Amino acid sequence: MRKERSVFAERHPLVSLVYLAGALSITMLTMHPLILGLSFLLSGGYVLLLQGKKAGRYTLWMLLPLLFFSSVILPLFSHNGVTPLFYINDMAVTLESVLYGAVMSLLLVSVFQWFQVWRQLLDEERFLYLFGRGLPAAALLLSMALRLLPLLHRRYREIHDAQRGMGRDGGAMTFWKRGKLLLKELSILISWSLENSITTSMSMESRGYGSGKRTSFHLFVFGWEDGAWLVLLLLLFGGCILIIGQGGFAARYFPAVSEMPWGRSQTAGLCCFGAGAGLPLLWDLLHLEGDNCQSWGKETEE
Amino acid sequence: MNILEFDKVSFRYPQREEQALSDISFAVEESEILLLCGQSGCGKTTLLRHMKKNQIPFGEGSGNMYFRGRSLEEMTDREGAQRIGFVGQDPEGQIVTDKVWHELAFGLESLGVSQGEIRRRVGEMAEYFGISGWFHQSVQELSGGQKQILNLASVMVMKPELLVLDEPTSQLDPIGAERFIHTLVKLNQDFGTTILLSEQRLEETLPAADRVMVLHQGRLVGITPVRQWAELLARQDQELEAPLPVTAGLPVALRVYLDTIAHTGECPAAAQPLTVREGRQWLKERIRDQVPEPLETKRRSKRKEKPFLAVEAKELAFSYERKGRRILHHFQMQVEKGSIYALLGGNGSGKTTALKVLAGIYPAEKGKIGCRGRTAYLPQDPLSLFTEITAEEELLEVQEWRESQSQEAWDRAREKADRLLKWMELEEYRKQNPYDLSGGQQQRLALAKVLMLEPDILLLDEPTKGLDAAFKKKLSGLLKDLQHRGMTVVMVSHDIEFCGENATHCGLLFDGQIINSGDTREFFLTNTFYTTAACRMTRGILPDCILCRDILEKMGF
Repeated sequence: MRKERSVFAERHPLVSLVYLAGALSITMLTMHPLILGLSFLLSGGYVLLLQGKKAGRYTLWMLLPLLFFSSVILPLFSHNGVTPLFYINDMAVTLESVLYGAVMSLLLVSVFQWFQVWRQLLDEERFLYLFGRGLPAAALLLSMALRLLPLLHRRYREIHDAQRGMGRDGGAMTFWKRGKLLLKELSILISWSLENSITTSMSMESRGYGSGKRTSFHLFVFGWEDGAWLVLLLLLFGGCILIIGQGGFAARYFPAVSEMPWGRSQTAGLCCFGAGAGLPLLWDLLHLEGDNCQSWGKETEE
Repeated sequence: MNILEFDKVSFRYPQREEQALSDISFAVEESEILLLCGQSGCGKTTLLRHMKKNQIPFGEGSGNMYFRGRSLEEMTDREGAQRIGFVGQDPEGQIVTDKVWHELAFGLESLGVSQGEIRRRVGEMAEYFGISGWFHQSVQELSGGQKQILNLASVMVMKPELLVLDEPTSQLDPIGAERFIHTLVKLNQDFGTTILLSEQRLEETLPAADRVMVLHQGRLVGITPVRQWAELLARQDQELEAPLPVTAGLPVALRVYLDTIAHTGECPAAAQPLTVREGRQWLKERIRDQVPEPLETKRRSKRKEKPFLAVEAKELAFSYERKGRRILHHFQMQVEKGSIYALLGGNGSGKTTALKVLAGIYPAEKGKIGCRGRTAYLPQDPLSLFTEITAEEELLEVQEWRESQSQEAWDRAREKADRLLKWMELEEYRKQNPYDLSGGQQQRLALAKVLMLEPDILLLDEPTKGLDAAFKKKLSGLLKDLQHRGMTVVMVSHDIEFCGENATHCGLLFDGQIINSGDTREFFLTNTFYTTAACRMTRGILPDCILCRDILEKMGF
């Protein structure tokens, strides 16, 4: 899980949380194609910016089959709607179904993309800070687990090399012997790690672990800029949600595609959403280009 | 006032006959650096464990320990954690969390210190230890030396009055070790923190210490100011009637000095030389009246006939990832049959990788490797080999993988295992769990296990890591024996002194290439920085010395 440095992610985790929660809830609250289209574009742009081309390809491979499934396959079986396009076996394939499928897949992919952005902006540490404030033990446990996994991986590699050095080459073995070798390697890994965990627990104890109530230290600071971001995001998303609540972006597809009136409040809502969801992206775009341009072309390896 | 006092402390592990510590009394003075030395298995670790209440091992103990006049056992865990800091030898195992900053804060979190206070103290410490550059990194990205500095810093952040360290540099490369010792000395000078440390590597630590304390078989031999080592030796020679094993690990200057006065029967001086600089001054003084020999190094004539090669590598290249950084490139190496070849080099020069490629563990990307005979590879950490519950079974496990499973083959394997156990002096431990052996014993058992494969070429990865002088001596004997039996040994090591003494040929690996190689003597004499302490001590004074015994020979003893 490698991360491009996002400048926006450096803000207080609460800002990221409000941003993501806002973008996600607006995406899920409405079926209006314009809002969803914008949400798709912004989330896709952000994923591309943070994770590189590879992630973009991944999304494409997810979007296309989904689009195919929900706007081509599903309408064959779901016959709601009033505008038949053609008939198969005397059953109508309706325009409404196709449109609904397309909009639905747009929504799903957008949500998926917002969660990808989530992973970049709110890593485990930030997440735990936000949701686990009353749980210092959980915070420590997570930190220890994150420490242990790479360690185990490296250790296993060392053991594997040592076994190969003794002439035990898995490739040249029968199936049973290979299984036996794997079991041996795992058994070494376990005893070695248990041995090591004694050192770790001793080190924890001699630094006062368990001697009283723990506090949980973190490096986050809530500054005035964070406050400004928070207010701005709350206002923009709040405005948009208000308009959605008033039915401004109501869209129904069955039995017939409802009329979607466009007026001043719709323009305002769309702008609010665009600004709220787009500003952090723009912010990162400006700063990333300034700081490390190479992150654009770089392919993420993991 | 004494910060720590031991009064007739004895200790015995459960189900053991012998005492691990017997009747130990001493005091640690405020703000001193006290060095504890002794052979491995002499009770150093057990003794140091007695200095922190939560670390006192399980067993039968007697006697009293006092911290600032109060019994250590009355201290609460909290108080103990704050006032006495402990750093052990394994840099990896002591780290608890995933991020550097979190590790620094761990102790303070445990004590329930407030957010703001932690922030201040962690920041301060990071700055002092030069950690601010890698403050946000994951601990797995750090080098061994950095990890150990982090361990020290995360103990110091709790502002202990006494710092106890158990062989803190034994797992580090020489540069990392030196940096660590420097940091300790600076801590001691800047804050007056009392430091008690045990160490095998005396070359750098001895000059840094104020007093030294020698432990032998669980008994305290003596405690003396460092510059009066000779008196200590004289005293214990009468008591033990044998030279103390630790003397082999002393700095070269001191070793030469001690041997000289032993030969001439002079009275030891008040201040005895410890560092290379002091050794040079003393040596110059000493040989002033001797006729100087010509100072040029004699070049040995190159042999004409082609040597019989056991290992040959031509133009090797290797990288871990496709199109990744080349760890090895244009790597050329020739090892004669029956020689001991030492591959030296700094951290990250690709030494271990080179060895693994030679062992066939990693495939070479380019180039050719020719090995005449079977190779066997001994990994850096012997624990990565052990699977069985007794030492004996550990060796026989090798037979399980052989093709021939006949009664005869098993008998032969048993016989061989017996011979090897005897040879490695592990006979009395044959029924013990490999995990319960000491570091040196584990290393020997691992060597025996690899020798069960009956290799012709033995590849050793850092065989002296974490071992004391006495075991190194044993290992060098083993290597010579193997050489007599016609085995070829290739080893990778940081340990310049060990290689100078035991290798027949040396190569220096830098940036994935061997940049200098040759006969050991020639190799060390032509190097200026990357050479033995004896060589540095005698350059321009005595010709052709790379070992302590060369100096003594040249001086006519």
